Amino acid sequence: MSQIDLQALEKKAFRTVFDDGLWDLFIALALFLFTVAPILAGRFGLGDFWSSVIFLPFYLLAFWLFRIAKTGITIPRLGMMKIGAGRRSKIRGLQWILAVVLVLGLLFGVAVTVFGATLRSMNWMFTAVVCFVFMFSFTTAAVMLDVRRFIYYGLLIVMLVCGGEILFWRGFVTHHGIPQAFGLAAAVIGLTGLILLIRFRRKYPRTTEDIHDNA
Amino acid sequence: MTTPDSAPEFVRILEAIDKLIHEPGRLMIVALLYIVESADFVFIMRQTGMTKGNLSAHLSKLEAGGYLSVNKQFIHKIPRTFLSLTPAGRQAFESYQQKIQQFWRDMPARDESH
Repeated sequence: MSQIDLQALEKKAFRTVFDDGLWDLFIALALFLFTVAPILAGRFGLGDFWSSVIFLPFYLLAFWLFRIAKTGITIPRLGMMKIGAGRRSKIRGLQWILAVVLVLGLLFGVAVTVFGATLRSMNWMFTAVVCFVFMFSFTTAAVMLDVRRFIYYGLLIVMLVCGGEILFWRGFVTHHGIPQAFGLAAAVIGLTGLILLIRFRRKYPRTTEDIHDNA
Repeated sequence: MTTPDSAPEFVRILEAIDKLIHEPGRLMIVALLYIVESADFVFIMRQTGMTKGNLSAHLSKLEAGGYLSVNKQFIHKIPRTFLSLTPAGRQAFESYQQKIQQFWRDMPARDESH
């Protein structure tokens, strides 16, 4: 008859929402779009920044697919819950932080495009900003959502982006190594998501059980 | 069993404890519903590890005691039963938590000399 740690209970309940790996698959899909964008830049002469911007509607499509998967796969197996006020305010804070980071990232991208060669010559600054944005975003998400593996995803992306930049300086790759870096990150995170999804489906079989079945 | 007047305070606390919540299965359910706004039957079943029948029995008792609110909704055309604590249920759980904390505070320390 010990006291209940409500905080630990809430974290455990909330974390199960991420057990299905669908968020990991969504992140992998989003990163994959980053991989494709620079390649399109070369083909259609859009420029790295604008070739990424035109993919924004596809992120919405990816999110819509994610929602369908949640409804079709997760909810019948895990059920649903409506989070409490404390968690809701954490998530709202996370959304605001990510929105600000996104806007600042877009402004930086516009600045790079407008000022052209002056800023582009400072490759290290571009890489540093990209690394900061991803590391900050993933770490913040990991803290606010209590999902530790998001920190590792952020570290993975930072290491790969830096590696891609080094390969770009040495002339092995183009586009600052972005397609290779994000492609590899997408593959690792996507594979993690897939494994989590398979394990989730095995652990939680579908059920249509409801309280009224026993009435 | 009646508690004699000479019984220590921590024993009296146990006597006064809410036995509807005190049962381990129902305590798990109430604690889970306390930390969320609401949850459906399947979610509670997964979190508590109970069988459907066992969970239904506990939920019926909590609903009969006025601690639980049952609300049936259609989500994507599928009926789902959402459960949440009533204000009385939340108050009862908070009171239960306080009594348990008081019990442990008043519990005498073990005498190591024996």
